[in-house]
Amino acid sequence: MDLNGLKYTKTHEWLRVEGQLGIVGITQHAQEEISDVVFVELPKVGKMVSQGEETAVVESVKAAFSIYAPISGTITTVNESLSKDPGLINRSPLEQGWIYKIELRDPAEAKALMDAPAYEAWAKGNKH
Amino acid sequence: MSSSHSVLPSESLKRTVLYSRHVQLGARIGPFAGWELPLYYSSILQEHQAVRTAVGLFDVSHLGHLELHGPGTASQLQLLFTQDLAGMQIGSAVYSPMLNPQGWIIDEMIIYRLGQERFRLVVNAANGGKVIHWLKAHLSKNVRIDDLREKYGTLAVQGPRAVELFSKISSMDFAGVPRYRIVSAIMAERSVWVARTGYTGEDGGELFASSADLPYLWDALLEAGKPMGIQPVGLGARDTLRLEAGLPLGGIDLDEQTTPLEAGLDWTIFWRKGPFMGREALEKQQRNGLHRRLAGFQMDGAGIPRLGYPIYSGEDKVGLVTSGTMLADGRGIGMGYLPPLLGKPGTPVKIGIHQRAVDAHVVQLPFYRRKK
Repeated sequence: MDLNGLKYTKTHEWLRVEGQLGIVGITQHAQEEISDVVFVELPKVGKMVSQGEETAVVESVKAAFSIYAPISGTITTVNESLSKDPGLINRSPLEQGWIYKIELRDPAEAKALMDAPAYEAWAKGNKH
Repeated sequence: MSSSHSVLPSESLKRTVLYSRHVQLGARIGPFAGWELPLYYSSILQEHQAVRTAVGLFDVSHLGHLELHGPGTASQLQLLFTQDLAGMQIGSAVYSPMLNPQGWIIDEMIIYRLGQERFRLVVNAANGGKVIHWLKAHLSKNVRIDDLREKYGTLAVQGPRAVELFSKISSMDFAGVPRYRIVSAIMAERSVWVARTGYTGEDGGELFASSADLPYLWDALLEAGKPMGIQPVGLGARDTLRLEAGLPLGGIDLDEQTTPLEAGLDWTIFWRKGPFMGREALEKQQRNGLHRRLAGFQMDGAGIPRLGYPIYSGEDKVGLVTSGTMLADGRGIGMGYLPPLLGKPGTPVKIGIHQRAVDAHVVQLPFYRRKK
């Protein structure tokens, strides 16, 4: 997979755009921060969300983490595998651990997101 | 991604003498009660499991040690704690709340009787100052209070193989030391107190040693415990272990206005001993009935209960979650305060999780009881 095609938010989500569709997940850095993911609350299919809105919750043993929409649109598919195996997010955050697919309302919004090198630099600088 | 965790500036936080070892072991460090402590080394779930099946090693040097001695110590402590401290055998330990006149728990702790008039109190990290202040205000000048918080460190060694591990690095056989006893011993050529106590619901013990000796003991235990599958364990699993064992956490499950009756700590009250601080308030509460009582519940629907989440009975909000987690087997469990009528095991309730009301039912605490 071409990782350079991913766009990133400051809140540690990634977005892969394929035509009118976006795929959303959390980054390697985020899954390390959260550690053992034991539960994922998936959004409802058909839900319309705006960029920056809370769309899912990823939970570890210790805490619940809100996941924000990197882009506006309508949720079309959710990754049901995460209900049975939430650990996919830890093992494969950028591929099998994707969270939902979203039909883009305005693909231009993706331009405001960071590319991989910018995100890496940003995440490093913001490490607690 | 964001969570509601608050992070204190690290400059103001204290470190235990084992800090560099935690870093070397790859621990994730976080703030807790004024200390920088290991939250986990590998994974909370895995460390939890190691304690239940093998043995885990915890640095709990954030706990504060106070030693009280001098003429009249036993009879005066008898007035300040709910348990029968004056009746304790020398070399025994007891868990007891300390109450204010309203019957509210100031702190709860394990107390060790080391001599006729000599007691060791091991207090919650955040409460050390508060406890010293309270004791000074209520004990006569004859009772000396030695603050050993800087001098002593504590290691918890918990798990079915902990006692075997103790015996391996000492000439003493600890299998003959019953639970809730404390003995002095030489371990890894260092002088330690070995207490058969803990906060995990598992067998094992706690070692009290001078801060200077603590690193040697830590290394010796990790080395000797290797064939037993020893794991260093952080605060994350300490929390899930104590919750599974149904043990309330001070400051979380017990706020500053909780009585031991409300917290399900009735068993810590030695009614036969006569007067003690808070007694009248507890008797009054018994006569009038409780408004709330700590109860355990298990999730039936999907979701993890957490501190502050509402508990519903039908449409009515009836309480709040104080502690919760998800166990390795996928069971969501938690504790919270409910009206006593709803505290019966099997009673259906709902937990408000991220704007959803999720089905759960009340269960008898603890969630886990070790096989004897």
